[in-house]
Amino acid sequence: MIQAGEAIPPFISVIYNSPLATHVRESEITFPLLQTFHVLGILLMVGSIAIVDLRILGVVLKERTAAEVGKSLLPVTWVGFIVMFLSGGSLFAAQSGKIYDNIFLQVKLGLLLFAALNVVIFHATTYRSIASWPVEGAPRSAKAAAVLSLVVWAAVVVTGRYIAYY
Amino acid sequence: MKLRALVLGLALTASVAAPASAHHSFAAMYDANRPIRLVGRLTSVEWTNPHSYFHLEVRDAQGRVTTWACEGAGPGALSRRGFSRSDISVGDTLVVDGYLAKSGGRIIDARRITLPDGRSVSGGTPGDGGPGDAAARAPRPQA
Repeated sequence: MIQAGEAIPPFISVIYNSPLATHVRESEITFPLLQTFHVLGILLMVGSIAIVDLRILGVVLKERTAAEVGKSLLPVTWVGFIVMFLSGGSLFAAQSGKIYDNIFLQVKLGLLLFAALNVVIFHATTYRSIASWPVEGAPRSAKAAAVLSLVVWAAVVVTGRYIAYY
Repeated sequence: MKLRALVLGLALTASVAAPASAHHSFAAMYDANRPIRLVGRLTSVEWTNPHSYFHLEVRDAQGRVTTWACEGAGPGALSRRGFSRSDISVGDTLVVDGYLAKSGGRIIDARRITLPDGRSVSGGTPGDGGPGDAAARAPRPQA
């Protein structure tokens, strides 16, 4: 809760007092509905990313190439990202004045940034040669990126869940 | 397959870590061994998700007045128990039975709120595992 006299950064205050944030915060149904969509967004995004990672590691879908699996799941990842981002952004806005200094939130946002960097670097480097990866297995650098991706996305979900138990 | 073991291990870690902490927000903040009853004048209401707050001005035996925050469930849960925002207004006297915060601050977990019209409603957050919570009374599944 906000204590009297506690200094909230001005931009957080603007977000917190916006009509959307106020509506979500005071609603009976919007808040749990957004929480539900946030879980569904995570399901689609992190789930599809995990399948691609596991294919790169040679654990699942070995009858298809990593390139095929990656290409067919990318739209699912994007839909999940949009749902996750919009619902998560609204849930954050609604509580921003109270949770901006929550350590789990800060760690989660840091991990999200790290996960995004992993995606960008992976796609700019190793992924470019995906079509020519040998059938026996992906290059070591691709496997390293896949393991990192699985670990970091799991950590994002865990720290995200812990925001409520700070 | 070392890799497979690693992946499986990560998945297991993620799956047990989350539920272990879920629904323990009561214990995370409040002390079930320190019940308290506050009777005071309502100074402000935060009818908000995920928790609501009722701020009370309470006069102690020495006549000192302090302001307390009483944390309760969110708007949806309170409304389903027949407690709506319009049932209370600033200046009303509320009786709140709850538990003190572990931090020692002037905030309590509001388990039961007696409204100005005399009705007594449960204020606790559903599934938080606090005293009187349905989830806390249910038999625990054996792992």
